[in-house]
Amino acid sequence: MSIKCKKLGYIYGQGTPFEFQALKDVDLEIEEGSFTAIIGQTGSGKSTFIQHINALLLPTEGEIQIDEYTISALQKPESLKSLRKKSGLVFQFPEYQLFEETIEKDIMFGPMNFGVEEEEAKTIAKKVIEMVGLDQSYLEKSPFDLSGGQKRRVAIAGILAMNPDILVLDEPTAGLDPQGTKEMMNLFKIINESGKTVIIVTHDMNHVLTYCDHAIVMNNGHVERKGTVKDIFQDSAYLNQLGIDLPLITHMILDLNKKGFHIDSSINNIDDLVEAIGGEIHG
Amino acid sequence: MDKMIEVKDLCFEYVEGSQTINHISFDIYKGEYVTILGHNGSGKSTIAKLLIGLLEKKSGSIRIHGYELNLENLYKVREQVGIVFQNPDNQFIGATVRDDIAFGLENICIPREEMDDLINTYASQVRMDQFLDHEPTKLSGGQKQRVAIAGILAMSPSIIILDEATSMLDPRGRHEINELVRDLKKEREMTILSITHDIEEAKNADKIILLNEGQIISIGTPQEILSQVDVLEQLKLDIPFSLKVSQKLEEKGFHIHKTLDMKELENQLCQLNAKN
Repeated sequence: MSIKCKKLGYIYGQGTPFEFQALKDVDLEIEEGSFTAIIGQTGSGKSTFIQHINALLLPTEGEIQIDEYTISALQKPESLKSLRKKSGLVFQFPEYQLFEETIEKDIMFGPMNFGVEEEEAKTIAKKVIEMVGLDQSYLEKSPFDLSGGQKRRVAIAGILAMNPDILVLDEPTAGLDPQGTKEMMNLFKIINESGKTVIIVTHDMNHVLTYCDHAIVMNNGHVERKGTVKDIFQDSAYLNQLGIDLPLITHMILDLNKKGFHIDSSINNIDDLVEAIGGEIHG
Repeated sequence: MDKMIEVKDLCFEYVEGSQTINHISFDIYKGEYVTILGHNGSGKSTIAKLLIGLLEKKSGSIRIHGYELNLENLYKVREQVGIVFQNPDNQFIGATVRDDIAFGLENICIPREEMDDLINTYASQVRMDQFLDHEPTKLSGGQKQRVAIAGILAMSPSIIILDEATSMLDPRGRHEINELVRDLKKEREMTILSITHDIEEAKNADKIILLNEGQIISIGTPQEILSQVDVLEQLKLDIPFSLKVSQKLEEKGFHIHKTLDMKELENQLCQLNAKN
């Protein structure tokens, strides 16, 4: 399922004193099966944009096309339910949305809302709880007895239970500790490798380098650049101007190359970096 | 030096029998910038809540700027301490950013004339002066955190507790806020207690308190604490990037002096490269 935007724009509070144009003239395409990062400063329009991907916000200008659905400012589809089933959105701090008395019920809520029978929803709950790295014994517990990181996993399991083709995540690792962050990012990688399109809003360029294949750079409500992660990180001067720091690995490679090294700047992990540095010093 | 925070043998449990905070003691002096570092669930935020009396200790003692924290002194203590929580949504009151910052100032009876100045100053210091008439709930996560921080800074408390207060900012924004806090610390001798698991942020503190399972593992300078690679790994914390790279190079047989500083590591590598 690819996503295409044409001249997409969004104005908050149109016609009120709070009117604010958060998105303007967004033209882009996100390929099916990609792991795409959306980067940019706070307030650049990232969160506003992703809320269009499951029609939580409807365009006030232009259009967005998701698979066979077209949502435009002029023409809004009658039912968005089937679109929302295909495109799952995980907000910042999704753990605040948990509400049921058991984790199992919380996870089953989504699928049952889309017409899945209770028995089948239970089977789904068993499957997805393990996908997010918790065992089935958690299903009977109250979601409110869990730690923050565990709650977040349960919230994500609730989205996975609807088996969306597109998973959209708004800063899914904010507030998690390094261990939790790594496990969460690995989980998204596995989901992506199972064939789903994963779109992630993040400030952590180290994650973008390690996990993503494509990146979209937003600034002041516009999409300024799009391309492979490798290409995006080549232009450090541009990113710097937007207040985006390079991944530490890329940063170090570019520094060293200025001082006479010749290291491949597309390296995306520490072991390859150390290998390359070692090779040069020995060489 | 004035002791601003004195914690002695503090214990706390959410559920009877499971010690969340287990016999901890530490002192923080006036003008110090101290970081409590630990993974999720290590008890960091619980300590913050105990320090301002949002949670009641089981045993031990807490003194804030000389006042024993008890029911009688609770409001005296809270006048001294400003706290910014991780999720600013729980902290907004005003209908606009301006009202929200004003709320705290009204509470401490700042005259109207001074209030406008304070609001403008702090809003621009956190780069939110363009948003004074916006609704806080419609801002992005990072912008909300900036507003929450401005609201607390404007009240000039003598102690500021930042509980993962910049978690939603981009690294550059986080850096800016940290710089701002450090400047204030210098200018006004503000005492800062920052709660985080961000190693790169902890590098800037005067002192780090390393916490695990409600117990203090060690207290020391960033250099002392962050070079204990084995301990950090065991506590599921990150290793500073430069240290990781220098360690791996050392394992490969290169003579590298392990460092927390990327520039220093690069210089060492350039020297090695020049020799060949």
